[in-house]
Amino acid sequence: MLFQEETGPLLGIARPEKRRLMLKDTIALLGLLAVTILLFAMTHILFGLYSRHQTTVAENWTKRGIQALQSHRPEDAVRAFRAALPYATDEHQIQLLLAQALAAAGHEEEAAAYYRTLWEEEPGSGTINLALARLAVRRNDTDNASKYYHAALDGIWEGDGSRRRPEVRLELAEYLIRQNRLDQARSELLIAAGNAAEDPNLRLRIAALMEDAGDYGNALNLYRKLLQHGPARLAALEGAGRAAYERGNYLLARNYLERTLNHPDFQHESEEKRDTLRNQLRDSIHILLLYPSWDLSSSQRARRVAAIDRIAEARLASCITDLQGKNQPISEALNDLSRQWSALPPKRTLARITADGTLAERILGLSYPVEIETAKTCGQPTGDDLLLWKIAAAPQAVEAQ
Amino acid sequence: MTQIVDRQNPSQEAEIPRKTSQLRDARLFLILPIFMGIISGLLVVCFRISIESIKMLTLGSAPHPGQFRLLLWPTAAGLAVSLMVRYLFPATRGSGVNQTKAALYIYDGYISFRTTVGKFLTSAIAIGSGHSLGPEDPSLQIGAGVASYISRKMNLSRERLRLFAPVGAAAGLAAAFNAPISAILFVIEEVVGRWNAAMLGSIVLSAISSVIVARWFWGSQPMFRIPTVELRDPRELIAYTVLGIVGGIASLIFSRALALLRPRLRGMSVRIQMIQPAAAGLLVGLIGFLGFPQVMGPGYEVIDQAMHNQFTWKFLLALALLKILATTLSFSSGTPGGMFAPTLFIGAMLGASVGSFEKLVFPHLSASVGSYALVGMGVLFAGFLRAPLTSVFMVLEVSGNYSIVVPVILANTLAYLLARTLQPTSIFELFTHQDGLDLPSMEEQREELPLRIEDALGPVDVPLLSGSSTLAAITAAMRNSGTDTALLHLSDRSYYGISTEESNQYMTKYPGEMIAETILPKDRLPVLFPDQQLDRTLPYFHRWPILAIRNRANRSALNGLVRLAAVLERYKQVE
Repeated sequence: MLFQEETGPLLGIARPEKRRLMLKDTIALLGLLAVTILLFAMTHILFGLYSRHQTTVAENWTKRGIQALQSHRPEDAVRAFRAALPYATDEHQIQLLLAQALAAAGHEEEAAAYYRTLWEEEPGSGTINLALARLAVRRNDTDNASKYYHAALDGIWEGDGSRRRPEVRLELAEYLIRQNRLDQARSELLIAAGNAAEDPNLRLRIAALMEDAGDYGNALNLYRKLLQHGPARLAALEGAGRAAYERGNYLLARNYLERTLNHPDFQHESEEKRDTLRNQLRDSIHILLLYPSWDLSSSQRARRVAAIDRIAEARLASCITDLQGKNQPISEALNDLSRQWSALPPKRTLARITADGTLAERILGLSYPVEIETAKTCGQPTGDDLLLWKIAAAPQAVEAQ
Repeated sequence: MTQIVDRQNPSQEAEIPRKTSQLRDARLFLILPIFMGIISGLLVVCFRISIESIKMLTLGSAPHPGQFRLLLWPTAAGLAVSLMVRYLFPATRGSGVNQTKAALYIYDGYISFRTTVGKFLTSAIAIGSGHSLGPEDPSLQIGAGVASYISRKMNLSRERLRLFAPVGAAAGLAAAFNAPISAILFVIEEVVGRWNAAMLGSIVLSAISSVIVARWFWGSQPMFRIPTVELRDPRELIAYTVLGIVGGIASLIFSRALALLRPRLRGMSVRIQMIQPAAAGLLVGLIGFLGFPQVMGPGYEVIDQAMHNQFTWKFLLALALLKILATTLSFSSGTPGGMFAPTLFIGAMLGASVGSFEKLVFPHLSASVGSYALVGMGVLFAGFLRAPLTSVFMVLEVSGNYSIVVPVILANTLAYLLARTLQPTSIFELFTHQDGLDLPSMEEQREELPLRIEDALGPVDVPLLSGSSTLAAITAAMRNSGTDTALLHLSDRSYYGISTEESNQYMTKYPGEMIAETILPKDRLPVLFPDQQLDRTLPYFHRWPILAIRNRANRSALNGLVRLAAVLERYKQVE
């Protein structure tokens, strides 16, 4: 009820007026309702036309922007996407494109600002987190780069996560390697290797990154797996040879490097790479010829020990002479080695070495430290000293092959 | 009987019982705001569509420097608008806020339908074609006009007619801002000044109705989106303090520019006044043509770009200063349009500029440039428009970001105090003086302290007797105490103030042993408390010589007495 009943002496006079007023008000309110409905309908139609036009404008500008981006004209793309943004119904998509264009044009702060806004709405988006990670990398912001990369790995990729995540992980590993955070890089690469599909190219890339991260063991394993199935890929042979060489497994290195050099596509490699691999093969062969393995006969072994003896003695003498010539102090370790060397029997003939097993061990026990110490004091060795130094670096590895 | 006079047909009168009229008005005061809100919302949506469509037609979808249309269209629109204002819609000059206040305080809430239509058309043409003005103030006036028209057609009382103007104003502004709370606060802060629960309820109803309509079409996302701000280090507040000071100074510059130019332009001959909007359009267009098209129109997309760090701090500063210039030109020339959007624009550019500069000098600052831009908007709103409460809520509503509240309050307060100290007269009050009107200053009203009963309270210095006392005892007590009044505490715990004259009258009629309570008339002293407003006591003094002021904790106990002389004395002290 709109109106209250009144009581009192005026009731008889006011009642017809009151009824007239009620009717008038009801008609007026109904009229108002009709006007409102009509106005709503007109506004709805007008808004529909307006929205369609806005959408067309936004789409046109967006198309221009995408074309510009694909034609590597990021500045034009930025202008186009900025023009589209006020008219876009799906601001999110345009903002994303604009952010990509800004990043491509080198406007990192501006791109980061848009990406951060988008991130607020979709903190779990893989695309946005990856973009922020890349921007952080460019700005040398290591904390945020790591954070956003990991967020991208855990993020949503709209259906192609199985393809994008491994790529992101490898990108992260590359970044960590560049930052010299090799332990973290190795962890990521192990995960990548474990999750990697049977894609030889992907596995090759992972193995190469493992080498860059100093994880030669796992790199070698991965290369060997690749070589087990299908035709021998040159990259896998090269990688296996390099990894084995770096690990001190010269026998394996020799095998793989020989196969590499004999591969039909080897000639297409760059000259630098070919030289490096040839040198590695040569060193592997020479190391295998130099190393006094227990598998050899006693006379063969003694011959190699005698050769090592000569090499090490000459190296020690030349290093000390060099230091004395430059008036540089001789380190305590070097002095100690020199004293121990002087304590060896002066005539260390092949027959004596063959006959005396302990002498061979004493010679080897001094020769390896001599190479290591002289490398520290008198510079990187060359020639036979270099080979002996490599053996000295990991004699167990050389022995174990 | 209540006489309802239709302003359009003053000869028509209808007589209905007063109580019916009041009841009817009260009920319509609840229903009509909803209609006003919906209709205002729809009209504001159409208004915004008109502005955008005109902008697309005149300036294109992506105006850039060097386009001659930037010179042509604002000039042509200025000329067209000038002719329309001069010959068709003379009341459409100005932003719309003062015009709505004038309707409320001078014209009994009357805004003509022609003015409403004219405001819609002239503002849409001016803003759409690039004049540096905003759509919010005209939306406020359009809403007020709608409300005025509807309430006139419903034949409401003069009191209701007056009150409906702000109801419609709030609806119009809420739809334009897509921010109901800010609109309500602004109308209360700047248009109405004082309010009661019924008015607030109607304003809220209409504002919310219009926002629902606006969001039906535009969606409910906030106007600006910035990343969440976390105030990790309290020292960051120093950065916002600097912004508050800079904003206060900018507000002052803006106010002084308008105060200087507007009266000079209005003082010129009619012919020159006719071409002023066109000249202003040309100059604003020239600014755009020469490299800064961002200053043309309301500029919301530019604010969004500034929040996303798209400009260098120098460019932002240039935009802020040029916008001050452009808006001063557009507004002072008499082009219809509002100040809200330019204020937000200037604040955003200034805030982003200060923020960008501070981040260059102090890279460890964690807040984004967007948060500085947002705070900057509030700063200018507080310092220039002098609506401090609205400025805080406006920032929170348009961003949907409550983490920014502490910096907003700090910076806004500083800007407001600085601007108020250096420029005591607010911009709206300045405009009303320039227009020859004398409207109440909302700012001053806010700061007035209403007088309360306790301000005129005196001790209980008259005999206080029980109602069961005899007439003789009462007379003797007054004689002995030398006072001409006594206070009787009756058995129903009410009080009765009896004067010597009244007591003597009873003594002539009744014996002295007569118990006073049995012969006294039924009326009693009103129940009043010290915290109530002092003017509440005035109607009672024609009956009572003194008024007993009760204690809220114990109604039977008295805090003191109030006399008419003390009340008048207290009012004299205010003068």
